[in-house]
Amino acid sequence: MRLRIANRTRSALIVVLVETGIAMAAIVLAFLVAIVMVQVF
Amino acid sequence: MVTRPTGHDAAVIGFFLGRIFSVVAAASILPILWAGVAREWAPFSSFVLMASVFAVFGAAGTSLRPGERRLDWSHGMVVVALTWLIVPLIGSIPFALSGHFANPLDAMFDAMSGLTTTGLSLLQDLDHVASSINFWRHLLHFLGGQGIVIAALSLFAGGGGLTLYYGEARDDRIFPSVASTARFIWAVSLAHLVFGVVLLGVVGVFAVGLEPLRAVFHGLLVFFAAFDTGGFAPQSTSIGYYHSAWYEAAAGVLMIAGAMSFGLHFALWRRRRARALANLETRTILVTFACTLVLVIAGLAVLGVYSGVAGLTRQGLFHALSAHTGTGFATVPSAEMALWSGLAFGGIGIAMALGGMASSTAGGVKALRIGLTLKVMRNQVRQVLLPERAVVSKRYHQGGIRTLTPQLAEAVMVVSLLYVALYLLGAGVGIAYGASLQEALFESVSAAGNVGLSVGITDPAMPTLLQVTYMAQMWLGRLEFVAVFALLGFIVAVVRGK
Repeated sequence: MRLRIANRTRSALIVVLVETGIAMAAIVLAFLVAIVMVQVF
Repeated sequence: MVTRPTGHDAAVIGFFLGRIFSVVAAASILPILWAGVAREWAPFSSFVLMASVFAVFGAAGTSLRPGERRLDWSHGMVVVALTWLIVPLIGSIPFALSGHFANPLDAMFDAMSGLTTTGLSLLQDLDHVASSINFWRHLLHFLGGQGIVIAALSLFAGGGGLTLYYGEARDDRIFPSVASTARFIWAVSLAHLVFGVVLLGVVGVFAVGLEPLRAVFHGLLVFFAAFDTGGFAPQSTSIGYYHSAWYEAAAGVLMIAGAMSFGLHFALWRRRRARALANLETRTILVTFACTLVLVIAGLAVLGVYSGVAGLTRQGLFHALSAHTGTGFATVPSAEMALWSGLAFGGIGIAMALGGMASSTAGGVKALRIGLTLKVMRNQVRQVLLPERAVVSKRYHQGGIRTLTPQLAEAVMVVSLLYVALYLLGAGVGIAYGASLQEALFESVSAAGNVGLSVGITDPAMPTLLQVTYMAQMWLGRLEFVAVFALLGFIVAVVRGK
């Protein structure tokens, strides 16, 4: 039972870490695009 | 010849509707408790009235007890279509009695917007509304997003479950049985509930400066709206109220989680990241999001609204994400967004129209359909360019290798075209009432795509016909047409059948 809970907690943590990673990648992409746009316009 | 439905058909539909109303009656205990603890006695009595109506309807439906309790496809579709009509009707009782709506139709507009996870609102003076009413608005997002139907499946696993699940436009079966799929969806939702409320609460206390209890209350409400891609917010200035990039980032993570399909959640849960990334839908949404993000940031740069890199990044990313995930949070007022003409406006409009992933709470055409449509187009072009005897591969990856059959291509095209028609219909009505083409199209796409961003057309003073049109768009957009068509077919069969 304890192992099952630990496994599920680990899985949930991985999911939220991936989602946070996607958000951070989106911030980096937006930052790079903004730098280019400020130069262009 | 159309066959007239029998008494047994009506009994089966009534029985399953009764089960769903019983679930909503049980869920209504939460706002009752909330109002009791907060000593908000007027909302308390209105919630008791609403729960009683749900309970009476639930008991009446379940007492029908049809002999054969198997729900066929058309029955399931009719049940789902009626659920999304009747629950907002009864669920609007506390809103109508709160004194914050001009009339009962406005109250139902908000209930429909809540349940369909849209986020457009006609509530007046939101900043002074009772906390329990605010809680109920956001809980409607959770009920609609996580699915009353899924809850009903979990609690009453048995005959007809799968049909209800399909009817709610969640055709991604993760486990062999619907009950285990529903259990998995609840596990994912609860894990995110804990994560989301803690994250928003901590950010609310340390980055925004809210009192701890208030930070948890706001965190819970914003979680419901973000994870269920709804768009209601506890305050009238939406996420702009917090004036915090950290809060926007935290809400952004939850919006991403909400727009991800449960199939993708499952792949990540089982640590199959490579398979998740290989999916046609994942690749499509990454490309469309990047494209719309560039459009929005370029548009804002051209307009010169935000001169610095930081302002462009923050505003461009948050609104592109809010639009593409179908959430509808904003950090600028509607009047200011209406001034974002050109590329930025177009980018947000396109993002809203495309929507999130299938089998998620997001609205819009959905990334899987966009990906498949592009695949069909590419195949057509290749077929023309290649020699006559050449064989064009019609395989694609979506949770495994699948074949793009002509039937699937036809279904994808039909639903995509219906979305376009729905967007244009709402825009046409908006234009008829004097809105500009750009603004009418934006608001229409926002309603039909279950997004909730507004340029100000959605207002308590808006014409009744336009209001009803937006409600119909939210309903049709949420159920992806099929369930509504089944209901219309059922009505025609009742009237003209033999």
